Amino acid sequence: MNRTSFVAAVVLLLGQLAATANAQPSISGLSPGSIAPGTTTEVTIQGAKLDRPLQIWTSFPATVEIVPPANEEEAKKNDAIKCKITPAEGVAVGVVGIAVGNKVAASGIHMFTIDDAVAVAESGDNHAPDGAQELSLPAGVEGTIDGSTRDYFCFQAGEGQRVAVEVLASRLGSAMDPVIRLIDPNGLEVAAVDDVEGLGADCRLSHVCKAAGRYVVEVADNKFQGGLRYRLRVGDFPIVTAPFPLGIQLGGSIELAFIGEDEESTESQQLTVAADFAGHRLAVGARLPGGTSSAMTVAAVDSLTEQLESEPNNETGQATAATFPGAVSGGLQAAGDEDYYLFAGKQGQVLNFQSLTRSLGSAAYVQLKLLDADGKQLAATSVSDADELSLRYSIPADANYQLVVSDLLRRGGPNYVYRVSATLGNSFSLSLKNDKATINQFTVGMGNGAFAFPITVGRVGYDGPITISLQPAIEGAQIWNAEIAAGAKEARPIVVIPAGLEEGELRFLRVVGTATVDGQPQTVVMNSEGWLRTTLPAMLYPPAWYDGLLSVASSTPLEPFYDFKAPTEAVMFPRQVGEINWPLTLERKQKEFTGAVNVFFRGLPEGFSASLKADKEAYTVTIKGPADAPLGDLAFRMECFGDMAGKGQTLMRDVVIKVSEPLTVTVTPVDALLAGQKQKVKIQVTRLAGSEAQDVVLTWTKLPPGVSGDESITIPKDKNEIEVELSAAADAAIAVFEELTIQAKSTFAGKDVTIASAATKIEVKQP
Amino acid sequence: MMKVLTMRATILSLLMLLVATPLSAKEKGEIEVGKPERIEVFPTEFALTGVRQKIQLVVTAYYKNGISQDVTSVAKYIAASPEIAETVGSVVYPRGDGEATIKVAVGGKKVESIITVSGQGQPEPVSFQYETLVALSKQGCNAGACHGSPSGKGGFRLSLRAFDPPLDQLTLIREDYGRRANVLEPENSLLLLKPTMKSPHGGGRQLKTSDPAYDILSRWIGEGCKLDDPERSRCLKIEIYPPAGRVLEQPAHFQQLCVLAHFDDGAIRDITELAVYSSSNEEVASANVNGRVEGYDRGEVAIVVRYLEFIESTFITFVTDVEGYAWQQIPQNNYVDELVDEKLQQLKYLPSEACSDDEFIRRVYLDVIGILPTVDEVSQFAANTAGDKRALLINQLLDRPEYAKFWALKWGDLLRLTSSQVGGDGVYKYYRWLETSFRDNMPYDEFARELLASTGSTMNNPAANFYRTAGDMNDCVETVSQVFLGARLQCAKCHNHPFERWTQDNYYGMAAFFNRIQRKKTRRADELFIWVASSGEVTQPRTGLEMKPWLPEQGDVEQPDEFDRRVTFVDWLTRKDNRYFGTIEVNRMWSQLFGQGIVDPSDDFRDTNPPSNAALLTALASDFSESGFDRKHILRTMLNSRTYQASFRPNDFNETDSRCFSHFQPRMLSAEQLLDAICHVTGLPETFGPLPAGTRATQLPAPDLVKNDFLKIFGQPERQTVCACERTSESNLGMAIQFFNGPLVYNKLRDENNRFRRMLKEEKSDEEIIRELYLAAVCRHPTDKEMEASMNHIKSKEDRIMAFEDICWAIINTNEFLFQH
Repeated sequence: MNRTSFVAAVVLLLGQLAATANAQPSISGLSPGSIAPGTTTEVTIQGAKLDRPLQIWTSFPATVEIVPPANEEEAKKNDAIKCKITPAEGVAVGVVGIAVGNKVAASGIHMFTIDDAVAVAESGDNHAPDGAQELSLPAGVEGTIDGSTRDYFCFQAGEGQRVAVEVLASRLGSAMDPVIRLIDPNGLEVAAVDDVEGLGADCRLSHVCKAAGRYVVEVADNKFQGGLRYRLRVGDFPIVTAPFPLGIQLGGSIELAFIGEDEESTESQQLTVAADFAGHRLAVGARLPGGTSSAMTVAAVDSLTEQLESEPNNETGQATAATFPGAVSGGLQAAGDEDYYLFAGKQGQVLNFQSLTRSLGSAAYVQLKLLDADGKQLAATSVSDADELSLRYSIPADANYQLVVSDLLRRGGPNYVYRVSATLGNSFSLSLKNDKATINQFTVGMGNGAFAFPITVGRVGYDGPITISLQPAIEGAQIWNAEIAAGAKEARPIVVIPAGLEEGELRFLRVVGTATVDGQPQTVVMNSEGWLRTTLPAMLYPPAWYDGLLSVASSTPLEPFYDFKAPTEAVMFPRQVGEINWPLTLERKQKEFTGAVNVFFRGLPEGFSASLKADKEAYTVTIKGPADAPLGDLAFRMECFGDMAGKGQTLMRDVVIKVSEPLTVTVTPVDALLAGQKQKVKIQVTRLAGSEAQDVVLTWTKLPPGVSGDESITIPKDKNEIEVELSAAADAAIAVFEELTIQAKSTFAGKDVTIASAATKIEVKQP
Repeated sequence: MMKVLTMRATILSLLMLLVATPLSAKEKGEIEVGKPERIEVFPTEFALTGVRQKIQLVVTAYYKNGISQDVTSVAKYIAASPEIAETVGSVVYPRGDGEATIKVAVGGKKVESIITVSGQGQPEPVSFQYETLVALSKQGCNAGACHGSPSGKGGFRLSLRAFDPPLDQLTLIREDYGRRANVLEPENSLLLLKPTMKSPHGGGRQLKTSDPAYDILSRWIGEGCKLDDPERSRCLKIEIYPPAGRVLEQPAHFQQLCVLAHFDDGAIRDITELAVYSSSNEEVASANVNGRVEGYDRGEVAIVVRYLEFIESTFITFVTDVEGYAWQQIPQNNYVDELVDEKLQQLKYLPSEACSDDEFIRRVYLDVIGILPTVDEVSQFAANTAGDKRALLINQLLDRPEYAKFWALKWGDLLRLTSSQVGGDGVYKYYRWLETSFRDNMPYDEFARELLASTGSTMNNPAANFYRTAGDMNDCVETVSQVFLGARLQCAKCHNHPFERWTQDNYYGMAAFFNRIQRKKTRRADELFIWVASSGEVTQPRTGLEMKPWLPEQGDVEQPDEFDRRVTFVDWLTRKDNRYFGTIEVNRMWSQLFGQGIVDPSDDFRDTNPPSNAALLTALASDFSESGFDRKHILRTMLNSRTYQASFRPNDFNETDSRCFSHFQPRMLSAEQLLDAICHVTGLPETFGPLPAGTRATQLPAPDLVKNDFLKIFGQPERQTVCACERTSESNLGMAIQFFNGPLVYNKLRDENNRFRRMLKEEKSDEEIIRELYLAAVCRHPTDKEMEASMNHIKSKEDRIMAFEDICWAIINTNEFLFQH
């Protein structure tokens, strides 16, 4: 197989344009419910608000051609759209996704299957064995269980014919817990299955028919829930648990065998994985020789070298040689089996062992132990609620060590396979925050669209900063908060898309974090598995292509849903105080918008900072700056972001700061001062707005020789000027004094301020 | 409903009559020795090795007709060497070292007992544990209602029935500044003054100076309140003479017991006067403080003997003459009947005749598949003239899917199968596992193994839900012991069981099999993963000792299964010779069919609750194990027995029998059966939430899936405990209201589509409709009188439909409908 990338569906927009409705499109199903690999299938996408023009996205490489509506009436309908989907060569059977987007928004992802069992729709009136729906094998039925009733399907089988039956429900995100029974031509139950460990709630069985005739498959929900979707597969596919080895190295080519009930007879296959394959699991189909339908399995994909268990390796002395970092694939052949791996460790190496079982379809709960070369235990996994346990160990000395793998219940058999990967050193991880409010699907309006997503940061020995980027990048997009600070455990980047997307464009993105860890660059793709588990609780292991995926649809410009009422004039900044608060009122233009608005202050002059404090809808901006900031005008920008159900909007505000003194004082003599006499002097103060007026205390700082005035003069807070007298002594120097100055003291915004007046000229004359 | 209550009251009054009529003194008579064929004395040899020892002799006379009686009290005892041993009544006391012969004579027969006496020149100090504490137990000082209560009484606390000797040491010797024991003047010790009421005592007079206990306590105090030498020999067991099985026919009604304690140094001591006696049925017989049993009425009784933590019992059957009684053998279908007849014959009851076909088909349907037969099924069965038609029907019913569902309901009660305890998904899976196990007739040992040794996902392996409901070690011990060993062990968690042989050590010893069970969540909602840790030991909270896994009658297990100790437990449990395992289950099945167990309650096996027919229980258990623990085989055996098929109508010679299965004991239908039966008669099935149409109340996986007031009122259990007692059919006002005018009955009678309305629409005749209603409800045609009464009622009513409502209402209010009979 030559699978390359999860994305890059080629979209051909051939449909006629239809009026754009103001609602999000949605997909309720496909008809047929699956598409065949390697061929073109005409599919009707059923749903609502499928207004054209549409873009169609598939999780697998494919050519998608929208079929033009046959007539005007069909063109007006928006509950179905036809398209032809041709999966790229090598796309395997398995669970895949499809989504549509238009100028309004994008739909959610609808999961379905690529399946070589022929797609059949459920008839709906098949609730009794006698009325069972006829199937020609291999068949894949897209069905819905109707609560307290059971669905029946029948097929003709020959004597000795082997038949496999499987139901996919939880693997499609359905909450159905299927129970299947196979009933022979005599009406007797010959096989039944509820859960198969490793498949979650899903189940499968195979049966060799002893007699020719009509066999009936009964499908029911464990607890008789209704309205739940399932896919029944009946055919000749093998019952296998996983490919073996269970992991494939990126850029590698490998011959895969299969492990499971039918491992002996299942055909092996050669598989190549491109070096740039995105994702950590890959769907792999498996067939019996001459078979017409495939089993669906999954293999792990990463950069590690894959090594295989070599039996016997059940005890110290028999250990299979391995190299770590790297990965081993093995199987617990029989109950009580323990697999030993011998590897050379170097002092100071920190190895991170991770078991993979359930995510690859295995029934095993693997526990890991580390032993020294003599078999003395050094470390072991702690049993937790996690399905796949991990172990981090720091190698104490250069020596040989043993990794021991066993099942928690010492079980074994074809379903008990495992992969253990070991990576080196410290690392970090990014996860879409697992929170009710989190979404992964965004609509950005043209012009001011943006979206934000919360990230939970996992750190294993690394506490430094992490830089966020998008993959693939969107031209012109900016990421606010792109740098996750050192030590931070959470982040919320905002992607602003002023340009780079066409109206009606649909993009699927991943988020990548880069950092320098242990001196080496490390790149990590954000996962969303935890969040997907919450969103789709029935699906134990969401498909790898779904993990970490964010969708962005560009829509026509959106009505603004918020604004800020802010001072339109320049903001006066009292220099000596070094801080000013000014109000900002959030105006909600749409009642549906109830969230907060993030405000970023860009381009602040050096030494200035800004912060925002919210009290309900009233915000207070606080700007701080140096006490000696130069007087005059300074400018910065407020960049705001609000989000309403995944539709983010930005708002920009340029702000001018006028740096001013909080208080000014002037001295104006009424006339010349005569020696031996008194003369009035007028003193005026100007208080800067923004603080409650306070008394101003004046003190003469420079008086002509022989001239005196009051030692302390106060201008009450309700006055701006005062006249005071200066007294010239009889022998006062007769001259023009050029430096008459006074100092004013007061408080502004609670802070003491002191201002000196400009020097004023006063003449002292002889009477 | 009033009729229901009346019938219950009648049964109750019959029972009361039975138990409240002891035999008169004349009927009991004095001991008439007559002319025995031979006599025996027990023991024939005995060693008295200390100055304070003695031996109670027991003399039995055997007669030609095969009967025997205790003649201990009337025999003459002559000590040949009184300087070595002499007798006081039937008790021999040592006097000097040597060997003495005690000659016993009665009814013209003579036997001897050889007594070897030693240690007479040496002091024999009182043992703190084996005498002092025993004396306190004998007098009831350390009983739960007295100083053995958790907080004691009057500031004086003893361990319950001396289960904690170190605590008692502290209490008796150290507490209260040592005032309880006055070493210089023992008779002035509070320990003696209070129970003799020489000093005020809230508990009244509990001790006389003539009591053996007084002597022991005063000696112990006088000797300085010494504790036992740590090297002192330990008691291993006690033995009762006569052993179980003695039958005393009137006029014989006394039996002297002799109780011996065996020590690890080989010594045997007579503890007859120190042991504590109790009777399983005081109305039949009781034992006095000296171990003399007196019978009052016919019946079997277990006399339980307690000595510290050692408990043994002996079974004695008392038989009385019944005027006019003569055994008449009626056909026996299998060994069940043979053993039931043996017991009936022994106690002089006569079995009732066989029930009618009508009664049988109704009874067997309800017991095997939980529901009533259809009218067609009743008619076909009636028309069938084959001689083995009952056996054929039993086989058919055991193969029907309803059988598996109905018996899954019964086990669902025991396994606490509720969605609140095993989760919304798990409850269906667990139920389906149960249903499948009954459908496939999974051998009971395999069934138990799948449950008790279960591991893994509760979804993939629903049996693992056993460890979800039994959510911790204590719960495991108590659940396993009650469900599979028939023992209610809760008491032993905190102290030795006050009435049974289970000790606190036993409790934690059994816990050592289950303490390593671990439970982890998984990715899948509602799923638990059950696994077994590789280490972890149990510490006995009182002693602080680490407990080894312990098995009843096996003791400590030195090398349990290294990976999962439960495997060792299950291996032991399911052994064919395990006297608990199969016995409990066959008794449970018997109880389901007969309304009461051979041991009853069916999950309360204990010495003080003996089986009503031990031989029958043993035979059934043996058959069960020999059949490979085939439950259908045992059910088939029981159902085919004449005993099961006996009429519920008593005859003149079994009216008072309620325990020996001489006739079928009517009982009220269970809540689920009643609801299904009403639905059946009216032809209007109920729907239960999301469950598929056609699901019956007797097929509900769990009681909390659907709220149904009718079921709750009629005793549907919440399944909060594993006790069979949680399901009750005790009558209450709510039941009466339901049948008078409750919404369920009312709505079904008024429903346009009910059975009689449909028939009216089909223009069936009144007679046809009445006949069908009777066939549906009570599986028989109406009698002429019933038909006449019904027709008259119809004629008297203007509204024919209302008349049928009345008739249908009347039918479902009859005892015949409400009761399994």
